[in-house]
Amino acid sequence: METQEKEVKGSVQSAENPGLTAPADWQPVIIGILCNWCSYAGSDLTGTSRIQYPPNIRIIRVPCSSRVDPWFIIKSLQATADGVLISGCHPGDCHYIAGNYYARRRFLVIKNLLNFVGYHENRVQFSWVSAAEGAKFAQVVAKVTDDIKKLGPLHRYKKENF
Amino acid sequence: MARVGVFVCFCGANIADFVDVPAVVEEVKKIREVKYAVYYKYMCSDPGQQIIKDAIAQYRLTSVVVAACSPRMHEKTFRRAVSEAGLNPYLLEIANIREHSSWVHQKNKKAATEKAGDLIRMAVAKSIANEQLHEISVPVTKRALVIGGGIAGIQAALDIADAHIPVVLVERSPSIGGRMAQLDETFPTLDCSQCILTPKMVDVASHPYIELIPYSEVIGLEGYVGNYKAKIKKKASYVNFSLCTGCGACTQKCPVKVPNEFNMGIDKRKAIYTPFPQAVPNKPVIDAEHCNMLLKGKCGICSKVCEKGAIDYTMKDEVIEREIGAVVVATGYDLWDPKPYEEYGVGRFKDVITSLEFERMVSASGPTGGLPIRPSDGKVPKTVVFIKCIGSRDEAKGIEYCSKICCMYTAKHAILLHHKVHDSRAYVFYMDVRAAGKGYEEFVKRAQVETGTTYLRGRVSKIYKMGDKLMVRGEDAQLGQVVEIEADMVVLATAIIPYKTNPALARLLGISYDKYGYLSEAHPKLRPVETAKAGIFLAGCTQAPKDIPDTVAQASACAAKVCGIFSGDALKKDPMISVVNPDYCSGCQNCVQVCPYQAITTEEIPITRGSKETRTVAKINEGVCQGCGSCAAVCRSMAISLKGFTDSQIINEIVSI
Amino acid sequence: MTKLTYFPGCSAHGTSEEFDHTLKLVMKTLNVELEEIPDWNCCGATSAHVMTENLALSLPLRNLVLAEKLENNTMGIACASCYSRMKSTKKYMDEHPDKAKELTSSVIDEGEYTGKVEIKSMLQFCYEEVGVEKIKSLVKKSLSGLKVACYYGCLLTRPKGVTQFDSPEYPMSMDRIMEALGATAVDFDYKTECCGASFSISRTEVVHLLTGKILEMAKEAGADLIVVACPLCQSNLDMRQPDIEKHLGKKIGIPVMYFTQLMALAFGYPEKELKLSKHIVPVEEALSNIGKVVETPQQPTKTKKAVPSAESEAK
Repeated sequence: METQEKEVKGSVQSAENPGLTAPADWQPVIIGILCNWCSYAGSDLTGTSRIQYPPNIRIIRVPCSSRVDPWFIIKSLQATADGVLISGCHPGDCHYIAGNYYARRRFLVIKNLLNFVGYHENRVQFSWVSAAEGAKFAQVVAKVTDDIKKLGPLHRYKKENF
Repeated sequence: MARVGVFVCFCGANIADFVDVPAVVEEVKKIREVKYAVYYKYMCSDPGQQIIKDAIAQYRLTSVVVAACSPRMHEKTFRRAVSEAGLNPYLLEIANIREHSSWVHQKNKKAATEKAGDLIRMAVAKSIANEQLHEISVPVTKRALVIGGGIAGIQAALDIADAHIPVVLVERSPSIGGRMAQLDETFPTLDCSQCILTPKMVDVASHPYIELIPYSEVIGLEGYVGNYKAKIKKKASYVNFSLCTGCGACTQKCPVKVPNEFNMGIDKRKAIYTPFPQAVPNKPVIDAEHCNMLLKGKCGICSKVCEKGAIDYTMKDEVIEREIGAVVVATGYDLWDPKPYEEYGVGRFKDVITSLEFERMVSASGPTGGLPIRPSDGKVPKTVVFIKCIGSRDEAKGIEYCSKICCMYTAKHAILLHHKVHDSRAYVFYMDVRAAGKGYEEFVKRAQVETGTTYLRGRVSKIYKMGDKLMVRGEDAQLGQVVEIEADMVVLATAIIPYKTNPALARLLGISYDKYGYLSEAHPKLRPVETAKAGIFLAGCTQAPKDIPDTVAQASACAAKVCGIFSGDALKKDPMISVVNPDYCSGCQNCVQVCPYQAITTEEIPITRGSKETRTVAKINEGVCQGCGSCAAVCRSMAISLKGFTDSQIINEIVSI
Repeated sequence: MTKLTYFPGCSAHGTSEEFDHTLKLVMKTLNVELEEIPDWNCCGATSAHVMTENLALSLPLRNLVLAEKLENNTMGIACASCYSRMKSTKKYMDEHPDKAKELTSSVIDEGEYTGKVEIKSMLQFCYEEVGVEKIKSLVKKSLSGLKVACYYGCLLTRPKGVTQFDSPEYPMSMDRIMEALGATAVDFDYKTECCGASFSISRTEVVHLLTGKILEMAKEAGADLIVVACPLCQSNLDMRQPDIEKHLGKKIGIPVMYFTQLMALAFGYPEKELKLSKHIVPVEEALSNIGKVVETPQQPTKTKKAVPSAESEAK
């Protein structure tokens, strides 16, 4: 990504590493992992409704939020992503009966772990977006993008730092 | 080395106006594995698809990426195109650059273009890890199980059997017919319920493709769509049906009298009984809870009078098995017990009765010969108050939902009362009149105009006794006044609730149910007949309150679904399901716990080839797995992968950005 | 000797003195020591909760805080209105501990609220804690021959979510106690109808209408007297009766007694201890029925319905 600046000057300050800053025009990379039946369909509806949102998110489709292995999140943060958004069906609406409940529990654990090793809690976020909530998907993306922008570029545990 | 072809769509102006497509194509061409990249105005059009087919042949492509609209839109179209060119259809990936880029970043062409490039790069990376997949073929046992012999079960069974598919119809009571058999006349046409139902019951009994198993319950179901095995418990009837001629001598002579549940306890039946004269099968059963012979070992009269020797007091419950391919659940409804309405004197005043009790009274074949009478003194009531929404739409005492049929049957009862007792007067207390249906509003009008029934909008606050009259005090909300009616009888339109064994049955079948106990459909609008478990369907009030026409429609819909499953010799199934690599599996069984479909079991395999010692590994049932991927995510040793969404495919996407 | 925290309420020291007095006699026989809350205040009654929420909550809350200082687990309340206000407040405070903290730190000086004291009406105490069997065993003079209509009023069993006692629409606890004393409790459909309560003062004609109906129905049900457990019900039914008779244009003449008066009588206290002179409608004639043979014994209320519901279909 061209937008991934690593220079230690400019105006965006990293939340985890207050010493590090990025240029003011820095744009974060966010990976969104969406379940096929609700959130991916919701994001399609955002498009069909022409609701605009920040262009930083890159969407990966999975059948169910329960398919999201914590590894995917860690790998994303380790690779290019400055933040990750996982989105599934509303509780009770899972296409696979109860998959999103498993995802929710697993996500609580991974979130604790990430906080423990020093990631800010807003780096990885979780949401419920149904297939009918095109506008909500745009809001969620805008909020996540805004949160990540405030946090600044992610340097911690990036592969190239090892 | 992978050879990927990328096909970028303009989608007319939809994509091209906001994404610099030629620039994206140039960018994509730089990817090592991309051997061919091109753009076209409409990739989904025939010429567009031809471009893909030609390129596959010309460039010996190993996978194809189409950058266009959402895969939810045209994935199937492009898979077919790829397949026609001789490539496995699952080697296709779609980059969603319309819904996810051009349409949502219309003010920032640079960013949209950059994002489109990334999305294609991700799709290319994923496609490299794609594998050839083949549709799964599952053999089918062409026999259906219908649980419940009410009108829903009867209709479903007849429709399926008429398509020459064998049906096993299991009914818990001694006769089929269900609630509809208890009804007198039916709204809005006032057809006699028995007259239209009995021929169908007889059809069931004589149909060559229907095996009727009465007085039985389903106690187990294993397997998956097309390949279920059902366990059915035949309750001991103590009567050998093959010997019994249904002469009825035993029933006549039996000395034990028990409240007759078919007539809502208004009269008595015997301990050996057929539920009603038109019962199918018309063979008696012995009620073991009341039979003197079975309880105390004394009596035996029925055995003495039976010329055929059909009575067998030693009979035991029997469990039989049937292999089937699909299930229709039609367990029907029950009536809500109005006991919490203490202010109406429920349980204290004999002349406050429920609607089904009234129904039995006005039935020509009922216990009172078709005339409503007061249970307290046997007099014919002249003034009858009907109160609607007893339990329905009542969060405090009953349930929140509307029972749907009460408005109509109360109108019917008002009309029937007038038919039976010409000088009677009916009052109906209502909250709303919900008469949506063909001929329904007209029917309510008929009750109001023809029979002069007074409809009072408001709730009854109290019923008390004055001499032998029931004083019904309520509010007429339209007049804003309290009214008091001196009534001879009060009929409560009690709510309908799901049959009480529904939750247990749902657990046994592996389907879900709601907080009231109604079985849950797969989708409230678009899949109202299916359950979340493939091959199990719902008909009638087991899913939600409904009237006879709706029930029959849903039952026929079930039959169509069942026939659909049985239309081929094997079921075709999406191959995107989980597989276990037993070499990696440690047998921890995490996957077994998280599978929402119980599709994962374990099996023992030799530790090494030819070894006698074994170890436990997970085993996925292809027929049951729906491909959610929960198991793949919890697998610590990465032994499970979800085809089409493997770890390497997704990681490839992540690292390609 | 068990101890019970006692909240008499304002009426007990005024219009319902006979209730307070006989309650104490009954409790003596039942071996229960009543420990009156020192320095208790008015519960706020109807007036407070139609005006301000904070006042309506603070007044009972102060009593609750004071009650916690006595080391008993249960508080018995004589008056139905006090009972309703205190129990509603307790429920509210238990669900909103922040509100309790806010009030105890601002307007109440007597300390913190913890919610450890359980609240029961005296009727509830007699029925649940003492029990019908024990009451029966202590009867020295059976009240057989006496036909009573038990009147509960609005507040003793309602709202169900607050009181958690007996049936809200057709309670039977007082009836059971009366039966234990030997009396016959008649079927009385008006046992939970409103008597008009405090409209007695502001709009008397409403009370004439409502209480009149209750009195008529009790008479219709064949009762010699009405038994109550609420001071305001008693005063409306008894004190307003001459006016109501004038209003209806007919004689009713049905006396209204507290359940404790009848308990005291059955426990062997002499009639003069019942303070019968406090009654407007004379009681003596009704009480003279005690010991007479009842010609048509009232059938015990059938709880089982003659016509079973759809449940039996299950078989």
